[in-house]
Amino acid sequence: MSVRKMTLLSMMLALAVALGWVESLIPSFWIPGAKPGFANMVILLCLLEFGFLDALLINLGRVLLVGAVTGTIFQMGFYMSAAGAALSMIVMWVCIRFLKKLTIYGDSLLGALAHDFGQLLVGWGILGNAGVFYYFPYMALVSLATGFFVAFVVDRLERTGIIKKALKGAASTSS
Amino acid sequence: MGAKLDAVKHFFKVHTWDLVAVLAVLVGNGAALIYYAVPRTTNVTATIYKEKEAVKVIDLSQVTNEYTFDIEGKYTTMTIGVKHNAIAVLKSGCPNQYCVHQNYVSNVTQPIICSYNQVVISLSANAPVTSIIINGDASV
Repeated sequence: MSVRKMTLLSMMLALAVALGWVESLIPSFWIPGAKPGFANMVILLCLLEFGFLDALLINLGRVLLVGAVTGTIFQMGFYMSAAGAALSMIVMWVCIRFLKKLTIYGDSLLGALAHDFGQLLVGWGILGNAGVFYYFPYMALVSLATGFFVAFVVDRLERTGIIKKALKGAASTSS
Repeated sequence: MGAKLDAVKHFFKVHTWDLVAVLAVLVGNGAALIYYAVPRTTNVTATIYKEKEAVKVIDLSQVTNEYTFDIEGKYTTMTIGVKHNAIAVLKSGCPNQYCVHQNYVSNVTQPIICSYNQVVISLSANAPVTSIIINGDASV
């Protein structure tokens, strides 16, 4: 791995942690676990630009560091968040890799839904009650909006080609 | 006008499968929300689970006078309110208070969940019990 790529990935991780921390300050109001998914922008961008393994490292680091920063590490919410993040990333990767008919908007929407489902799966496992899935339709409605928002931002970033330029070292020379 | 029409056609061509996904989510959600919205509020029995274990079963259809009692969640004490065919978490020390915001619940499709305290109140219909304390010393 080149120093340039490692630096870029570190910056992505820092950005993901910062966004995750900001997100933790936003209350979910009436729907438990419903969040804007800002950090998912970084993960989706990593999946598109760097591939599965690098995105996995960023995602893992993000979940651990946000858990440590917010003081929720190894609590129930942490496990739910980790499962949601993992499932969401896997689903987005499958969509990007194999479901070529979907655009980034479809990938992001399915990723957001998978995030909800992953969280509830762990909730079901810990609480031992399938009643947790009662929240899924409400969370899914929120995911429609957040999935679109995440995709919109990542789409705009992709069009600027900022990551490709940074990888090639052209970002500094072109500005 | 022609350019606009072409843009719309292009949008639908590019995003066909995205729109199919959105439609599928909306249809699935609509069906689920309609299912949840259908009232099933007669002969309701509430079962309170703490860390997967049923600690109390209350036949809410037999409750005539409103009352409250406390249960110990995993981290904090919770005050449960009971009235005819309805149950609520009135107080909880959990940080986000989702369980308290749900107020009185009477539909069997709607559970009350406090993930922080790992307490679930699950409602079911037609279980003919009056009031059973499985574990604990709460009086009814």
